[in-house]
Order: sequence, then C-alpha cells, then structure tokens
Amino acid sequence: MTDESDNTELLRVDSAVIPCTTGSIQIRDVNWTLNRGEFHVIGGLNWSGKTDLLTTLAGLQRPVGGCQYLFGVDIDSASRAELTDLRQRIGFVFEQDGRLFTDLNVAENLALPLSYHRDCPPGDVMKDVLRILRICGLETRATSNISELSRSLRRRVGLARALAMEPEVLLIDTPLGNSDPVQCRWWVDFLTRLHRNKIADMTAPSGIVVTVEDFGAWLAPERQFALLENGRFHQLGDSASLTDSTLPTAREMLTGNA
Amino acid sequence: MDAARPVMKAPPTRSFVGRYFDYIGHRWLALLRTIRGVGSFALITLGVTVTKFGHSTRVIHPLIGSQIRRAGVRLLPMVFFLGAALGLVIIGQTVALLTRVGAQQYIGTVMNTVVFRELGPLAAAMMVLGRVGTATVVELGTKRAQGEIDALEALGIDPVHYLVVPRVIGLGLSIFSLTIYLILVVMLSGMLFAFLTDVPISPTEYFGQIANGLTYQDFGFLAVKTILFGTIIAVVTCYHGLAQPIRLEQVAEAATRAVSQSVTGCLILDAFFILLYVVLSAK
Repeated sequence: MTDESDNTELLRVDSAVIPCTTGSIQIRDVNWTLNRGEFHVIGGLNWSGKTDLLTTLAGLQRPVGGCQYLFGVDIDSASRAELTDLRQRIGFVFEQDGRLFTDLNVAENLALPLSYHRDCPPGDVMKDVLRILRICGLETRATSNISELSRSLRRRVGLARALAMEPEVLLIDTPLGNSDPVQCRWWVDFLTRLHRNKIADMTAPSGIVVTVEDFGAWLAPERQFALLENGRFHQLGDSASLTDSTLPTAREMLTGNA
Repeated sequence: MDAARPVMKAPPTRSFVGRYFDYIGHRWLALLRTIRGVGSFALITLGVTVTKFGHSTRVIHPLIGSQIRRAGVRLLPMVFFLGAALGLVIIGQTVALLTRVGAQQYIGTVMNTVVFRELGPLAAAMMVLGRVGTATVVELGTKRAQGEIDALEALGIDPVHYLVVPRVIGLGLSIFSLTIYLILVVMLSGMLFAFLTDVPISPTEYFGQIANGLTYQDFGFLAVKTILFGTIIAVVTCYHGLAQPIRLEQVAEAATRAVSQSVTGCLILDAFFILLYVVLSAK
C-alpha cells in the first residue's frame, strides 16, 4: 500500500468478517473506509455488535475473514511491534464506565500512558494532563477518585485519556449511553467542535467514529452514517440519505429521538 | 408420521469404574492444561522482562518499589513474630535437647538444615503468598473482569510489563530479604530460649556452631531458592488473575486455585533443591 490513497485513508476493512463476543452472530461482509476529515456515526440496537466492530476497527481484535488496513498498512503483514505503534495512533473511548484504572485518580489516569511512552516521572507530564482536563471541562476533578464520578463523567475522563495521546483517529463507543440531556449536549457539541478543529490548544484527530443507539442527536450534513443489524453492515451515506432510508430499524432509531 | 418424529435417546449409562476413570482423566488433562498455561505465561513474562529491559523505567521502577514495600517491608512485624515463635518453639527446644545429650556440636548442622535450608525460605514464601499472593489474584482478576486490561492494550501499555514484571521482581526480592530477617530472628530467639532455660551453652559457642555449619553454597542456594519462590508465586497468581478471561464472580475461585497451585509449585521446587543437596553432599 504505497499509492496516493495512503495520504487520505486512515482505516479500511474489505469484506471483513467480525466475530461478536456478546452473541453467537458474526458481522459479515463489512466494506468500510475512514478518510481524513471524516466523521462516521455507526448505529445499532443493543447486542448488535457495535463494540466488537469498533474494537476491530481499532486493531484491538482481528477480523476472522477479509482484510484490514490501519493507516494503509495491512495488519496481516505487519509485525507485532508495528501493530503496537499503529494502534497508538488510534484513540479509543470505551463504553459505559470508560474502563478507567480504578486504583489511580483522574489525573493519574491521563498521566500513566504519557509517562509510560515518554519514560518520564508522572509529575513531568502534569502540564499536558491539566491542559487536556481543562479542555474536557474536568479541571476541578483532577484529584477525584474514579469511584466518585458518574458513569457519564467517567466516559469523559476516558475521552480525555484518549485525547492526551494526541491520536490521529478517535473511536468512541456509545458516548451517550445513560447520560442526562446536559451531558448528551456536551458530548455532541464537543465532538462537533473537535471535528471542525475549533478547540484551541490541542491537535484534533483527523477522523472520528462514534457508535450510537440513537441517530437523532447526531444528524449533521458533514457526517456519514451506517447501521448494524442482524450481523449485516449497511452503509447509509450522509444525513439526507439516512432520513430517506427505508430500513425500519434506521427509521426507528431516528424517530426514537425526534 | 411417527417414524419421522425424532426419538429422544437416553444417554448411555456408564459403569462406576468408567465414570471414575473419566473423572481421573479429566483431572489429569486439566492439570496438564494448567502446567502448559503457567509455563507459557512464565516464558512470556521472561520474554517481556528481557525485551522491555530499560523501557519506561521511570514508571516501572516505582511499581517494583511499591511491591517490595507491600510484600517485604510491611510484612516485617509479622516475620518478626513468626521468627520469634519458631525460634522459641523449635530451635530453642532442639538446642536444649542436643545440649542435654551432649551433642552441642550438631547445633550448627540442625540449624543449617532446618532453618537455613527449609523452614526459613518456605515460611517466608507462605507468608507472602497468604498476604500478597491472594490479593494479587483478586486485584488483577477484578481489573481483567472490568476491562482495564483492554484499556491498557488500547493505550499501547503492555499489561505483562506494567502489571506482572514488577510483581515478579518485587516478590522475588521481598521473599529473599524476609527469609534473611526470619533466619536472624529465629537464631536470636533460639538463643534467648536457651538462655532463659539455663541451657549450658554460651552465645559464642551457639553462634560459632551455626557459623561453622554454613557454607558459601548455602548462601547461594538460599538466594536462588527464595527468588524462585517469589517468581513462582508471582507468575501463578498473575496467571490466574490476568491470563485468561474471567468474570467477577470467578475471581474468588481463581484465588483459591492460585494459592493451592503456588504452594504445590513451591514444594516441588523445594523437593528439587533437597535432591540437589543430596547429590552435592554425596560427592
């Protein structure tokens, strides 16, 4: 993969078959590409395999069939060390409680990956940590224990932890799950500004992918939509195509929040 | 229609002997799977220790320090108590008995065999296993069950490097140091018992006998054995907490399994060292 498309292509899967750990189904025949500057929204009901799809796209699990490319590199031909390096260019925000390190406080959660990769004492990265916490509206929570935070705030710390590594691609698993309307608005607004590179004092990721259970809050012309249903991956196109879609589940997920 | 209907067949009944052999077979296969799993995990840990040597030292070294504090320094009061009890109960009485039958010259040999070679390392290892080993399985098992290990991998942090290597090094050094403390306390409390019970042996004679019974080989073996005890306990407990998918409700059972397997591993290693002593002393 040395052609010109390398410059714009971030992630790609061709005819991929993705196993689902949460059920007996497989997601078959996934053909999908994330290019620079794109914002993809992948919808699906509970247990449809959104998390498995996203962890596969992040290179954290392998598809059982087809091909996968991370930043133009075929993962089958990449060495273990190369894959580790490629994965570090992808930020991943886990669903529900964000899978934070519960024995560390908020600031230490962000400092750990930075200290580990830069090989410096945690105190030396605190300036960067506090900058990211301020950007994410968490500056007052720097010394809080994880158990003191709501689920929605924990996910926000997860977002801050992923952004601290300055990733080229940001993958977020169901950011609005169990969130109140204020938190939902914060997430949609923040990710919109992040995508438009309107957040000062930080390098925005080149591509963003979120999985959702409800398309309603995410309708915007610059976004691309897809739907996971019964082990099948449906590309829906932009928001106009989504609203015109005849797929009953897509319509359900639109009207659900209308 | 009846012919087309599937017939539910009762499973064939097996005799008691057949079922017994099935059970034994399953147990053996499970044992072999565990040995293979722990062995692979130990090799992976060794590989990571070598390949990531000198990597992220400013994060890993404090973690090793905290493991030494946890498994070593905080156990000192308990080691002191255990050492004093062992010294009074076993060594003091042995010294008194040997002196009564006029066999003071064997004090060094007995002390060397009982405390230096066997009791000291094993007692220190069992204490660390009970106090830290079980906690390690619960800690790592909970981390695994709650997905924190996936988060480490997503952030490019090797879980073996970050969680296992500091524990292996920390527990090895802790058990070695605790064994030395334990032996010193046992010797002193043994002397105290002898003094309190008016055994006719002077401190110079007592410590002289012990010093005469020790060789450089004993010190070398003590170091190797205690560090290997720590390695076994750390690898087995980390394996049960970390190496396989686990649900929260399975963590307690994993801790029980890890303790019994660690004890077995340490005893097998101990038996190997006894054989080594026998072979070397026969030469």
